[in-house]
Amino acid sequence: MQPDVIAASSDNRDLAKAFGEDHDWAHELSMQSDVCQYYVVELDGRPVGAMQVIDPHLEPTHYWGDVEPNLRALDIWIGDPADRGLGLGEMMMWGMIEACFEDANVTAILIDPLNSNTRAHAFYQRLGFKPVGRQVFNDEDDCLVHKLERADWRAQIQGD
Amino acid sequence: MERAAMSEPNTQYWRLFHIERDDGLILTFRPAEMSDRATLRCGICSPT
Repeated sequence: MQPDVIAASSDNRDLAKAFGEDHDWAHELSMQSDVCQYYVVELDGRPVGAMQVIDPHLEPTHYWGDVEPNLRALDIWIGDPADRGLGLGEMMMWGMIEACFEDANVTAILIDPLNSNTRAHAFYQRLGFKPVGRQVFNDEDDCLVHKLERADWRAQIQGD
Repeated sequence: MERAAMSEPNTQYWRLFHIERDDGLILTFRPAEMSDRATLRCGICSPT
């Protein structure tokens, strides 16, 4: 696992591997529901990344704490370092943001990059996300939560 | 960036869809299944 991947996934510098050895994908996938879903993203039939989209208000682990209803929260992963720098991350975000806002009830989308990950902040802010405040997740990950309002996304699209 | 039409009728909340970039590159988004756990563990578990 690349050092920058570990740095991007946790503030715990003792981690030897992003997500740790005990990250249980079978469990994660078994917990999918109408408020929590992973997506595999494929390019010509080859998996290049994954995304998770949840309803943070209804998701049963309450990872996000008390949040308003009618939001979505995203996570994004790109696997092979060779697939980075091709614009796939931006494309994945475009696709999933559009999919989320197709639901007319969804007012905004949240994402939780580490506060230290300024490169991620710039990436999300280019898409129209705005920082809304620091929040510590899992008692150790200091994140700068970003939010994309529906109106800001529409303005972003019209500006392109 | 252009959003392609849904590939399946909108009969469930999570569904397959595609996005096409101006240069013709197409990404397919498909809901993960249990059979994807090996892929997720080994190949694409690297956060951006």
